[in-house]
Amino acid sequence: MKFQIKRLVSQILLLFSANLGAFGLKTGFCYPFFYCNACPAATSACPLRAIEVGVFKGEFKWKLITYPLFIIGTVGALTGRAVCGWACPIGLLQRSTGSIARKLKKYSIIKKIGQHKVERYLRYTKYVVLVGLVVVTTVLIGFMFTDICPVGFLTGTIPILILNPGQYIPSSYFYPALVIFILFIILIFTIERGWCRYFCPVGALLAPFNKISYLYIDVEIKACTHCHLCSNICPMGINIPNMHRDPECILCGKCINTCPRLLINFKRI
Amino acid sequence: MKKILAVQITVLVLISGSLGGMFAFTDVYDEVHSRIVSVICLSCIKLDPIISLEFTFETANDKDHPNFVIENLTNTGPLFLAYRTDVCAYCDDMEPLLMEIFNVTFEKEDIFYKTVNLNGSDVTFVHINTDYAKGELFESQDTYDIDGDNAVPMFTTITLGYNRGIIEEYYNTVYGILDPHYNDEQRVELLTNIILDSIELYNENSPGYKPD
Repeated sequence: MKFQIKRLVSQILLLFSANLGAFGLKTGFCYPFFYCNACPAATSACPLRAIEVGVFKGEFKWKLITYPLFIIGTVGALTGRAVCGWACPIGLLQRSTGSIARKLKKYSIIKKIGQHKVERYLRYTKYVVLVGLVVVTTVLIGFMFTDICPVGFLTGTIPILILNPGQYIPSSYFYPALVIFILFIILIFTIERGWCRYFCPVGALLAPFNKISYLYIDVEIKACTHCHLCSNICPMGINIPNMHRDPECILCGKCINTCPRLLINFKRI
Repeated sequence: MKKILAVQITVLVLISGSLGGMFAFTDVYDEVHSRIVSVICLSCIKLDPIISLEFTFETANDKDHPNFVIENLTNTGPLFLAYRTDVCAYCDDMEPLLMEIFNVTFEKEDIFYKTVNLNGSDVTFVHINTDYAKGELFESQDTYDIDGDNAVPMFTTITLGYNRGIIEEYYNTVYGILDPHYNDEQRVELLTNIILDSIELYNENSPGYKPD
């Protein structure tokens, strides 16, 4: 349990450091996680926004495209998707809604959705969002993802409306974005880590690094009794005993704490 | 294990080395800072600033008006400054309207000025792409950015006004597509009205203008 408290402290510290712009610290870095540079307190750039600016209408600005990829790549090569579990403010938000989502699991309809055979294919949606909405539509049409991004709505739109009453009016994308934001809220309250599982494009960038990352979670499968306590507790819904460097694993370590035979551990190469 | 370790080290060295190289040999850090972090992204916030048609005397950063503005007000007439960045969907929407109003053609990268005759008076149109502008032209954005968000497109009309016994520089700044409910015709009309107001004010006040 102490381990999960350490993770909570890490998430809170990273949330604080992501918002040092409130004290005037604005840097030229990109976050290695999902957070909006339109947040009045943001200290760095959203990696997806940098990619969008880099590919806008087919004008490939390679510096702006590769920079966020290298930042995410460096972090990903070291820790895989641990960023999602230990650093991302949206991960922290979903951690707080996770207990409600977990309680809702007892309702058969939610359980059925979670166990439906289509569910595992839905996880590929985030790659479609990354390639389709962040890259292809930006190349061919113009900004699309940032116009409807629910995280931008949560961390940019709402704080700006509160801090600057009467200074802004909704743009043409406001209402579609509001609908998507409401769906986002419903999603994270009904499916644990629903955003990370299915839609997060930054998670899609980090996921492949789980296959080669320096840090990973290892299961001593030969001694495993397949009690599935670990799989039941996993917020990402992974079949833990059969996972080997699963791209969905966010290295939160809940399975490590749960295994009665202590067969699951963090490993370094 | 040895194979994956080799792959891991190779990937890490390549990626982190490239990142280090970018920091050392390119201006990407400054570019991200100035183009993304320091600029409010109207697309990300899904909001448009409410425009004000009022003119004001106080500059946004309390600095003096740039020399090129004072020189133009002294010798020619009001100015219309159009600020944009390279990557700006709203700027792309608004620029054809500016071309129509001022009867000029330009590319988005262009930094230039042209004095045009509107309603019998000279107005200087200045196109400023802040990704390339330097010196006074670049710094002037902060001077006239009333909202203080560095939002683009930003349109500043500068003329002369009567302020407690003194004729001073008097300006108006509007942003974005002006109002999301407007069509292009209404946007042209609104900008034209601001420019016509500035011409009227200039003609009233220019005889008494004595810049410091």
